[in-house]
Amino acid sequence: MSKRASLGQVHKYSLPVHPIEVPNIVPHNPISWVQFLIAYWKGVTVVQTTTADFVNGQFLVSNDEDIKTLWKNGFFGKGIFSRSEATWYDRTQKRLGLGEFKNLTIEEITAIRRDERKKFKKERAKLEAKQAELKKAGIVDPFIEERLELKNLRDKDIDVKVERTIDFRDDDQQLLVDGKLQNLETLELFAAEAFFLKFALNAINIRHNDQPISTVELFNKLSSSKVDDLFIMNYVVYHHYRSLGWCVRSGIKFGTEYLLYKRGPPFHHAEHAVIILPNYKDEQQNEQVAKDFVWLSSISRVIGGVRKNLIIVFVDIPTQEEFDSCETLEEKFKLYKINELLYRRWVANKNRD
Amino acid sequence: MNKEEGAMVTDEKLPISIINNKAFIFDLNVIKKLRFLGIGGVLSGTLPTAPQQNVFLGLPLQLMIEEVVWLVENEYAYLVPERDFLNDLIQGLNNDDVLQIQNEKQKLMDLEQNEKLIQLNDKLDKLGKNNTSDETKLKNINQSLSIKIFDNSNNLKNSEFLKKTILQNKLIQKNLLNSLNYNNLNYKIFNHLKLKNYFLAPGLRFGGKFIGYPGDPLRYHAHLIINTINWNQDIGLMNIVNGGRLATGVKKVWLIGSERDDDEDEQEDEQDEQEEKDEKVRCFSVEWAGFG
Repeated sequence: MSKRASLGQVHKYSLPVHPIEVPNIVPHNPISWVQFLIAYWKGVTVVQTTTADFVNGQFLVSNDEDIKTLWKNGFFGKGIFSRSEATWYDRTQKRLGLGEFKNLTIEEITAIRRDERKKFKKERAKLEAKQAELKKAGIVDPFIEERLELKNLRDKDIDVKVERTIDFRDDDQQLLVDGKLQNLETLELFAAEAFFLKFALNAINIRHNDQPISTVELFNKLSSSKVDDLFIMNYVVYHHYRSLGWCVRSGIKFGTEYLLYKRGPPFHHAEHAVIILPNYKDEQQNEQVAKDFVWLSSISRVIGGVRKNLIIVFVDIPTQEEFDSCETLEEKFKLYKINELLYRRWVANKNRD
Repeated sequence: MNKEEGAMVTDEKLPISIINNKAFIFDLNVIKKLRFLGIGGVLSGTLPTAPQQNVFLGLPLQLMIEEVVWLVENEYAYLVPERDFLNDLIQGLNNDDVLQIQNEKQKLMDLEQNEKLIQLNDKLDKLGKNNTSDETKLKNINQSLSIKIFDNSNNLKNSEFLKKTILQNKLIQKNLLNSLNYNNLNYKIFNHLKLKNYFLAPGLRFGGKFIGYPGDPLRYHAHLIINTINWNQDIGLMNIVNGGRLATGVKKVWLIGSERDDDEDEQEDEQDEQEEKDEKVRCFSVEWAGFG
């Protein structure tokens, strides 16, 4: 894929907070020392502030610039008409034949890939049928060449030169204002994301009923005052992995709480899937919420099937008294401890390499 | 296999051994008969000739608890308790019982004696030397009557008696069934699907309670991954996603089954109530769309 700016350049920062940039120091060159000091002195940490609306329990970002900022700096949010990155505008423009021809969006790439895969499967089925027939006649595997071809078909790079086909429907007229496409798509943040941006980075202004809302107010809206509140547990884990540099995104599509990406979705597949369980001080309480093995095995099958590791995160829950006695949010969050357990499905016969 | 054919195969009730709250079948013929009833079980014994592997296993066959309950409730089988249970039973015998057992044994003894006597008489008649009295003959016979020890419990002399005791005593059967500690909901779902001619097997390796085949597993791939859930229990969106993906990934359908609560019946209108009277179990299947 050829993009105008390389992916690494676009997604240079993993959070919407940019540290001071300083030049390299060359030890035997005193001028570089001066340059360093000036840069250090004058530099400021840039926080890219965005705005989101808190409506009906959803966090929606509707400003196009803000959407781009949040996506480029740490892959926050999900386009409401798209799979992850908000690409509806680009896709629709392409479909309606407006504007210049742009690169393929991820949705289109997936569609092409699935098409190729279908072709490959068809060819494979053909070959297998042929093989079966010859096997009956007593000849064993004469298809080395065909096999190779099949392998090439599977491994070949996907051709991304797609012709522009315009599909303009009557209803599409409504999308246009003065011949220009209106962007209807907004970016949705999940609660832990929005709260992280607000509480940890202070990089977002959140409006509720058109009034700005403070961090504490937001916290009270999102969580109950119970110590084992689901939001608190989810947030603590989210914060934990974000501060360790992981790109954390929702894992709902695999039936888990989070997915951990090393850098972000365009770079690698997610490596780990996270499920969150409480760990109370009271063993009886633990037994009450304990899940059965069928539950664990079914999750691990799904995660194993997509070649990820399953991380079971146990959040140590403090007592309600401890929680209530803390005044600030920071103190409250500090009461929670995180224990991680990596769980892998391992079959002796299939995991020899 | 429908019920009628199954009944033909099992005119006699089949024994299921309960050992340590697990159910086993030790007799190959019984396993064959169970197969016709749509009960597969899992072979769980090491093969004597290849003890260092566990890919291929042999007798005994272990049954799921739901399978056991189904077999007993439908009167295809009876439960055989383990030794501790028998010991308890022996402790509880009263004099009449002991007398009855002794009589039973005496009868068998007499039968054998008489048989031997007839044989002896026949032999002596042929030789023309039949001149001693029956009493002396019996004495000689008694000396030669051997006590046989068989390696199969079915051949034990008191086997029939035991079987009768265990089989006919409803309380023993009931207690044994209860000792299995089975989950009623799981059994209801099992029974419901069994009535619909599904062949069920344990589903742990697919992350479910059961897996369901449309017929014998040797002929078909499984179609269903089955989980049970309480009527008012929160299923959880995450579990639906997980179940749907899980099943679709292995070309199956995820099925959740539950039994309707009694209280809720009253709220339903009459027509619905009529329909649902016999069938309180409800099942839903979930398929994950969007896979290429």
